Amino acid sequence: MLKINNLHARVEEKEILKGFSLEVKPGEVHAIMGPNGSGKSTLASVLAGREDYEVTEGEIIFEGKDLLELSPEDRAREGIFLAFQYPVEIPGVSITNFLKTAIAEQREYKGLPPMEAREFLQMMKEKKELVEISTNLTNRSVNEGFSGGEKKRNEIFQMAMLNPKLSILDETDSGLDIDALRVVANGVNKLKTPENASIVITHYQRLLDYIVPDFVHVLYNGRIVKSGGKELALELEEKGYDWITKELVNN
Amino acid sequence: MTSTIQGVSLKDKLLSEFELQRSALLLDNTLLDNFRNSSAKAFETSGFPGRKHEEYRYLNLEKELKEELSAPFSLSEKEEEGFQFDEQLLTDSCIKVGLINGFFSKKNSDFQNLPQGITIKSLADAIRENDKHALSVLGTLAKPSSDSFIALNSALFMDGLFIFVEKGKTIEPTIHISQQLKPEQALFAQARILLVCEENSNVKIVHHIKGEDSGIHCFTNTVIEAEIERGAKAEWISIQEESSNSAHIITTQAQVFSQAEFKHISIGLKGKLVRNNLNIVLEEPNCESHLFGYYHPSQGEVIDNHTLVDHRKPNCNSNELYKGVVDGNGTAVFNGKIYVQQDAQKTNAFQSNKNILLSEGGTVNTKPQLEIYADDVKCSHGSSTGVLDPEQMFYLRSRGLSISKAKALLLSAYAGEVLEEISNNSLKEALVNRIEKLINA
Ligand SMILES: Nc1ncnc2c1ncn2[C@@H]1O[C@H](COP(=O)(O)OP(=O)(O)OP(=O)(O)O)[C@@H](O)[C@H]1O
Ligand SMILES: [Mg+2]
Repeated sequence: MLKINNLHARVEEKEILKGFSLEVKPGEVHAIMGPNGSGKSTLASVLAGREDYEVTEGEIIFEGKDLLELSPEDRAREGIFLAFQYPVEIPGVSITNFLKTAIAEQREYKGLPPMEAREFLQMMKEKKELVEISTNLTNRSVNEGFSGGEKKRNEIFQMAMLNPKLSILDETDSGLDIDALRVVANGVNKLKTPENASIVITHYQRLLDYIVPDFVHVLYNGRIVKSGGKELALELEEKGYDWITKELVNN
Repeated sequence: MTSTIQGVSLKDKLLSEFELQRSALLLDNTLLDNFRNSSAKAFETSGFPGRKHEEYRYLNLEKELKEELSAPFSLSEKEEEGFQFDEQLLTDSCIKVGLINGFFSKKNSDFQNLPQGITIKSLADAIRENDKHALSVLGTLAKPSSDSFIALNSALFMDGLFIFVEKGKTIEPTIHISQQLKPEQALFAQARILLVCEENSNVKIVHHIKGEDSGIHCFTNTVIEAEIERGAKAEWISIQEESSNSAHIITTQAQVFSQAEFKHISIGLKGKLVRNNLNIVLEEPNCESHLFGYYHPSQGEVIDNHTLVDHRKPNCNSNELYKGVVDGNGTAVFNGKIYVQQDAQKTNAFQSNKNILLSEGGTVNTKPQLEIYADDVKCSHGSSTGVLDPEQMFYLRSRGLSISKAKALLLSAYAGEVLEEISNNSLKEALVNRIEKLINA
C-alpha cells in the first residue's frame, strides 16, 4: 500500500528526515515513536503534502502512485488521511458543510455520483455514534473553541466520515482523558478493515494497549533506528530512548 | 487643508449650469434660495478634492471627474422605461422604490404594501409642498460647508426621496430603494435622500445601487441625511453594485438621539470607484450605532469606506466591524474615525477592520483613528491586512477540498461575520450567493 524509500526532507534549509524508509501493507498498524523533534510530525506533513517541506531525495509510492506528484487534495481523495497533532480552528466554517464539500469532492474525483442528502445525514449520525461525538460539537464551526480533547475527537470523526485507506494519527492520544482515549481508540479499531492501514504516532505505550500495533518503529534524528513488535513499545516505556542511542553509538 | 485638482473645467461647467438652472433649482420654494446659493458658494470655494486632500488622498478622482459629465435637471419618460428591480434582493412584501438618475420614479415604485405610519415621496414634491419635516432636516445634518460633494449635491440636486416614519410606528415591510442610472450621455447625477424616524419608530431600509454596464462613464453623488429621533430604531443596508464604468460617492450623515439605535450594513461588491462617507453623530446620551461593512473590490475597482462616529454625550455605545477582500489589482480603503468628545464620559466604542488580499496586485489602505477627549471611556480599535491563513487552507485541502473550494469556504466564513448581521434570511442568502460568485470568479 505505502512504500517510503530513503526519504530526505527539509524545511527552511534544515534537513529533518534523513533517509526514512517504511513499508505499510493493507491491514497493518504501524506505531512510530521517538523523542521530541525527531521528525514524526514532519513525516506526517510530508505524507499529507504540506508545501513547506521540501523532499530532496527518496520516493513515496502509495497504491502504485508517486505520492509526491500529487497535490494535498488529491492525496486525500486517493485515501490518505492525517489526524493533525494540532488541528487548526476555522471559525465560520461549519463541520457539516465542510464534510459535505469534502465528500462531494472525493466522490467526484472517483467518478461517483453525488451523495444523497439523506444518505449523508445518515452517515453523519452513524459516525457520530461511532466516535461518541455530540451533535452539539458537530453543529459548531470546525474546531473553533474546542478543547484539546474535542479537537482530537473531531479528527477521528472526520476520519470515520472520509473512510481513508491510510490514516496517519499524529499524537491523537495527547490531550485525551482516559475515557476519551478509549472511545477514540475504539473508533479507530472499529474502522479497521483488512484493506486499510494506519500509522500511529505516539509517545505513550498506553494508546498501544488499545490500538494494538503490528510494528513499532523508533524514529530518531530523521531515520528509523529500530523496529520491532508491540513489545518494543513496552521496552521504550520502561527504558526511554537512551539505550537505543547508546546502541547506535556502539554499532 | 484642501487642494483643488487641475481639471477645473468640470467645476466651472457645473457652476454655470447652476446659474442657468437657478429658478428650476428652487423647486417652487423660495425658502431654498439661501441654501442653494450658499451651497454653490461652498462648492465654488472648495472645488473638487484633489489627491492632496487628506480625506480623498487614495482616490484618483481626477480621472472620474471628466468634463463631459453633465448634471440632469429632469427625468424623461423614456428614461423611466425598462427599469427593473433586482428580484433576488427583494424581500417578502417589501415596498419598492425606484430612483433613476437621482429622480424618484413613481412609475417604477410599488407602494401597494405601504402601511400606515410611513410616508415615502419625491423629495422635490416634499419641498414644493413645503413639508416642514423635510425642510428642517435638509442641509442641517449634511452640511455643505463640510465637504465639497455635499456642497455640490446641495447646490444641484433636483430630486431624491423623502422618507418619514411617524412617531411610535413600526414599519414591518422593508423599504427597498433601487437606485439606477439611465444615461444617454455621461451623467453627473445628484441624488438626495432624507430619512426622518420620529420618536420610537422602527424601520428597515435596503438601498441597492444597481449599476448597469452601459459603457457610458457616469458619476453619482448621493447624499443621505438620516435623523433617528429618541427611542427610534433604524436599519440601513447599503448594497453597492455600481457599474464598472462609473463612480459613486455616497455620503450618509446620521444623527442619533437618546435611546435610539442606528444600524448600518454596507456591502460593496462592484463599481469602478465607490466611496462611502458614513458619518454618525451620537447626539444625545444613551444611544447607539452599529456599523458593519463588507467590501470586495475586484480587478480595476476601488472601494473606499470612510466612517466617522462622533460621540458627543455620555453613555453611548458604538461598534464597528468592516471586513474586506481584495481581488486582482483592486484597491480597498478603510478610514475609520472615532471621536469621543469631552462630554462623552462612559463611552463604549469599538472598531475593527480586517482585510484579505487574494493576490499580490491588490492594495489595502487602512487607517483607524481614535480621538478621545473624555477620560472615563472604553475604546478599542484594530486593523489587519493579510492573506488567507495557510494553515486553514492546508487543513481543508488535506481533507480533499480543491484550492478554489477551500478558498470559497474560508472567504464565505470570513464574509459571514458581517452577513449574519442581516436579519432577513432571503436577503442574506442572496448576498451570500453573490459573494460566493465573486469569490469563484
Ligand atoms: N516549519 C518549520 N520551521 C523550522 N523548523 C521546523 C519546522 N517544522 C519542524 N521543524 C523542526 O523540525 C524538527 C522536527 O519536528 P517535528 O515536528 O517533525 O518533530 P516531532 O517528532 O513531531 O516532535 P514532537 O514529539 O515534539 O511532536 C524540530 O526540530 C522542529 O523544530
Ligand atoms: Mg509532532
